[in-house]
Parts: sequence; structure tokens; C-alpha cells
Amino acid sequence: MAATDSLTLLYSAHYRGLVRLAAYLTGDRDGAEEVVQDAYVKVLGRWGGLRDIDKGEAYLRQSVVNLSRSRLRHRAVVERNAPAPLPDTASAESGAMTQLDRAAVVHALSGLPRRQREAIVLRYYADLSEAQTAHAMGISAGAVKSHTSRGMAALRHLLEEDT
Amino acid sequence: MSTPEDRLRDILQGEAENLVPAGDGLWRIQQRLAERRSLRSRLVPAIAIGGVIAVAAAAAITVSMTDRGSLQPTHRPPVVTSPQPSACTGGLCQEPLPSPSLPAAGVTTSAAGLPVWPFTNDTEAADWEDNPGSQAWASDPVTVTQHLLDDYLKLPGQATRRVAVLSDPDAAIVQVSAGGRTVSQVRLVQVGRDAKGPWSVTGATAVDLTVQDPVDRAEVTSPLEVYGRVTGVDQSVHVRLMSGSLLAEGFAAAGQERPWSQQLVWTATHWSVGAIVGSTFSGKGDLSAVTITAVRRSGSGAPGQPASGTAFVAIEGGNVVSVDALSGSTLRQISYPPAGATDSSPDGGGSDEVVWVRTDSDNCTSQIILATLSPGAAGTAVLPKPVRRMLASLSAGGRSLGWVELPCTGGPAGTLEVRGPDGKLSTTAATAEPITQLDVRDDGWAVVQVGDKVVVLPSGVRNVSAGKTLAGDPGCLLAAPAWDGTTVVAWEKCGQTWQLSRWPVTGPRTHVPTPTGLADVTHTAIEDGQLLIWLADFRIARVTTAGLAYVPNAARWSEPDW
Repeated sequence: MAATDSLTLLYSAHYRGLVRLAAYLTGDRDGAEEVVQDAYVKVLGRWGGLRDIDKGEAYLRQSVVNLSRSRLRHRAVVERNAPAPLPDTASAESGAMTQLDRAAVVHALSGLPRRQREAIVLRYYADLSEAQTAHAMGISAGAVKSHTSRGMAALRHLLEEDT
Repeated sequence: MSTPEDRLRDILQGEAENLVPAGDGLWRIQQRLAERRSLRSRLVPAIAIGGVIAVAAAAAITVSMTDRGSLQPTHRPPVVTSPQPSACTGGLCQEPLPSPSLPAAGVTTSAAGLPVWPFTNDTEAADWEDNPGSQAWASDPVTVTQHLLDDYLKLPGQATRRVAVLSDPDAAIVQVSAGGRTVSQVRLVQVGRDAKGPWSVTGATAVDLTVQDPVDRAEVTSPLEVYGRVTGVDQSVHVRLMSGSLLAEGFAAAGQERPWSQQLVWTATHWSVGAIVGSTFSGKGDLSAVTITAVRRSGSGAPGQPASGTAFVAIEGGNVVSVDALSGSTLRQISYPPAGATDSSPDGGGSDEVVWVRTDSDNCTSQIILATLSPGAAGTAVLPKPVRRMLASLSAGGRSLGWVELPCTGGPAGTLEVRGPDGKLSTTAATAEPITQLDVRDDGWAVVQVGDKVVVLPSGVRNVSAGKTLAGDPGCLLAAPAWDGTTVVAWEKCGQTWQLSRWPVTGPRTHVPTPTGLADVTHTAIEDGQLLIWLADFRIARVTTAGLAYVPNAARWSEPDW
């Protein structure tokens, strides 16, 4: 497949979702696009190009996770109590939860340790399986389960404190 | 009752919908990939030179690549600014008009891609918006894709779903499945004048089958070698060139990772936009891959700017448009009259200019507009005045402009005005009889039809009656004159027979072999020796050595001219 077709296909199918993933992982909405564009350049700019288009999404996601980690490491100050990275406006499907509740959850997510946040976002935002999450994070499936469990426990605890 | 995990999932996915990327991400990625490839191409020769130098160069490049600032794009996509007023030159004043930008392509769409089916031009898309009729399915990209497979390509595939949420709302990708697997991803763009326009296919890609040449939007000529690759074993690739119908086809033997090629030969010249379609089938007969590559016929010109001698200007729906004489399709709209105003009398001239008369809503005050066929601002060539203007004529080299003025109160008496090459009015000739046809030369000379006579007017005459009346065969009437260089070309009607005649500056009149059975000729236009005629029965035709080539769908246009 021509390189331009690979890029167009992968961009069309995954760019927006990956930007949102990066926003959650870094807590930095403005920098999320830059992270994802870096990932596309890394994956598609390799010598020989991308040989297997079907694995492109997985490669991109793994790259986004790694680059998000790099971005966090280079930050001068990790703002553990920073405002939620996403807008305050409630989404259309607020359901039973109020706008304040939803913002509180996102706020709490940003306060989690990095690996717990990664596991939570990949499992419940990107809807990946434990195996896919493990591959993206570069850890074992058992470790994914552990980080996810601790993350959920921390979220419940923080939510109880906020409400 | 939902679990905490379900609630968390809903929250994260719901909140994420509020984050919308900027929209230029693809462009930025493409720029950076292009810069990376450019750096590599410069690095390779450096490496070949010598060890130390190559290592140093590589190190320098590596440092640059990690310093993203140095590889940031140094320019952004061009920003179109409003044109600035310019001084009058050569008697023609070009000032920007408060009109919207002129579309550059044959189809109006903000998304990338060349639409190949079912709509390839604005007229088709606008017709659909006015009355979808039996093509109501064109409002959705998935149904367009299914009809593409069923009706156009006749392939047994299933358009399953729209797979991509694109940052560009005017583009979509639809997945095609067959035999339980994905066999293609079809790209579509929304075309037409607004968000209610239909969808049209611009291409399709498959994992197991690729067409490497021609590339997307390439210009092609016959014979054409189509090259590509497959991933399966012992495949037979069905290769077709299609533009509304099948133009050429062949079957190429191919194998795993071995390139295949197939030559396509065609003779049809009625098309300008087409598609190279590649398809393969599994041993069980299931469709296994489909690709579509948009192409343009070389010589037909890019949409909106066809090759010389194949496009003319005309009036359609009160607007000046350019029309492809070969396919009989409107290429683009050129004029955008304000509410209540009407445009008429278009005439092409110069390298790519067109003039026309714009009459205000009072049906009296008129001006003459000058514009270029390539996108840009239009200008007022002749300022508004409370007179009726008609028969705008721009000379072949664009150096002279002529028109007829009549009082708004009515009556046949009027004046012929010609603004010559020095920019000054060179001719103001009174006429007591109606002038029905006008053509001007670069030196300001004019030829007019008055009644059944054709009169040549040198620059500076004060009265049309002082011009030279051309003589035809006894008993024959003359009509529809035009300049071909310094030679007058006109039609002689002798009884019920029409014949084409030429009056050179020196030498006798000559007759040109003319097809028989011609309807009354009302207008002649000549460009680079090619004749375009408008007949009393509203047909439009090119006069060729092989006979008359009628323009399809001519009834939708009036006042055609090159």
C-alpha cells in the first residue's frame, strides 16, 4: 500500500481517538496533538514504511503511550492537582451524574500515579483488553490487572472525599 | 444497575467527545514526513563520502530530529487575502467585486480527492440538490458505496459501515466486506454548494491489492500501462478504466509480492475524469480486493480548466459558466450576480479572460465585467451607466473590448462602442438598425451583423452605415460573423442551405465545405481556428473537418462563446 494511503487511512481512522487518549495520559490537552503527530511520524517515518497496516493502530497507540510518558518526564513540575484536562462542559450523555460529578472523576484521574492512569485510560477510555493494554504499556497482563485495580480503588476513594 | 467500571467508561468516553483536534494534523504529519525524507536523501550521499564526515553528519541530523523546533514547518497553508484595488490600465479598470471566491475545481468540495462517481461536476451535484429523484441514496456515503458496488462496478461486495470519524467533515471512509472479510476502504467526499450536497467516490484502497501507477489524480493517455502488487498467490487482477461506462479493461496475471501490469487502450475522448478500478476474487469466487484510482484524461485539462478548444463560456440559469464542449458538462460557475441583477453576453478572449454584461435589477443600468477563468477577482471593465448594454466582445488577444449600447427607453437606435488597444474609446458608431452580432479584433476593428448584412467597421468610424458591407453569393443572406485573425468568417444562407464563407483582407472570398442540413446559425465563435456555432434550434456544435460535433445537453446553455 502506498505510504500516502497508509497515512491517510490511519489518520482518518485513529487520529482523533489517539489525541483524546494522549490528552488523558498527559493531562495536557494542548500538547496532546503534538504527541500524536510525533507518534505518526515515528511509526510511518521508519525506513521501509509501515509493512502491516493492520498493526498500525497498535503501533501508534504504543508510541502515544511512550511519548506521553516522555512528555510527563520532561515537565518542570508535575501538577498533581491540576484542573481536569478536558472542558468543563458536560457531554450529551450526562446520564444520572451531574456535570460536577463528571469533572470530579476526570480531575481524580489526573491525580493518579502514571501507570494507574495509563491502565485506567487504556482499559476504560480506549476500551482495550488486558492483553492489548499490556502490549501498549510494555508490561505483563498481570501488572495491568494490578494497576487497574489500584486505580479504580483510588478513584472510588477520591470520589468519596470529593462528594 | 451499572457498575463503577461502566460509569467510568461512559464518563471518559463522553468527556472525550468535547475534545476536537485542530484539523491540520494530517497536513502537519505530512510536512514532517516529507522533511524527514528530504533529510534522509541528503544524508545518504554524505554517508557514502567517508566515515568521520558521515558520522558527524548523522549526529547533526540526529540532534536536529530531537530538536523539534528546527523541523517545525516554516510555513502554514497559504492564506487567501482579499484582492486589492488596482489602477486602470489599458482602459480596463479591474477592481475587486464583493462576490464570493470563484471555485477552482469542477466539483465544489473542501475535502481532498477527485470525485469520480456518481458526481464529477458542480452541475450534477446542484441538479441532485434540486431534485434527487431516483438518486436519493446519494445523501449517505454508505449507500453511495453500496450502489457503487452494485450498479457501477457490478461487484458482489457489501458496504458495511462508515469506519472513520474524520476531522474533515466533508470526507468519509466506508468499509467494504465480502466473504466475511474487509476487502476495501472506499473514500468519499461531500460535493456541491452546501452541506446538503451529495456524496461522491474519490477512490478506494485494499490491503491485498495495490495500484502503484498511475497515482491518484494522474493524467493518463492511451495506451496506459497500469502497475501494481498483490499479496495473494496466483491472482488474476481485473483492471478497468471507467468513466460513466467501461472504456477499457484487461486481466493481469499476478502472484504474491510480484508486480503485475496491464495495458489499457481506449479511443473515447468524451470524458475528462475517470477511474482505474482493480479487483480480485478468491478461489471460492468471493470478492477479495477492490481499488479505485481517480485519473484525468490528458488533454482534457484539470477540472475547471480544460484544454484549449474544448471549453466555452455560456449562460446557465442566469450565471456565466464554463462548459466542457466534449462531455457537455458545466465545469464551473464564473459569475455570481447580486440579487436582482442578471448576467448576459459572455465572451472569451485574451489568454484566459471572459467578459459579460451585468444588468441591475432596474433592468437598465448595466456594466461590463472582466474576469479570468483561473480563480481570482473579477473587475469592472466598463463602469455602470443607465443604458442597456449587450453583445460584449473581447478580442482574441484581449486588447480591445466592444459592446452595443441602447437607451433604456427602447428603440432600435443605439451605438457601437469599441475601446481599442490604447485604452481609449476608438469607435463610437451610431446605428439606426439593431446590431445582432458583434466581434472585435485586437486593433479595434469590428464586424457586425445588421439585419441580413455583415458590415466591417474600421476603428474610428462614426456610423455603422459607413462601414464596408460584405457581399455574398447573389440572393444569399449573411449572418453570424466572427474574426479569424484578420479574416471575416460568416455564414451565407442561400435558400434553405447554409454555407460557411471566408473574407480575407486581400484576395477573394472563399467557401468552406459545410455539412448539409444545418439549422439556422445564430452565432459563431472562433478560437485558434476552431469554430463553435449556436443554432436557432438551441443546439451548440463545433465545426470540425469531420463534420459537426454537437455538444451534449446543449439546451441548458445559451449565448455560447469560446
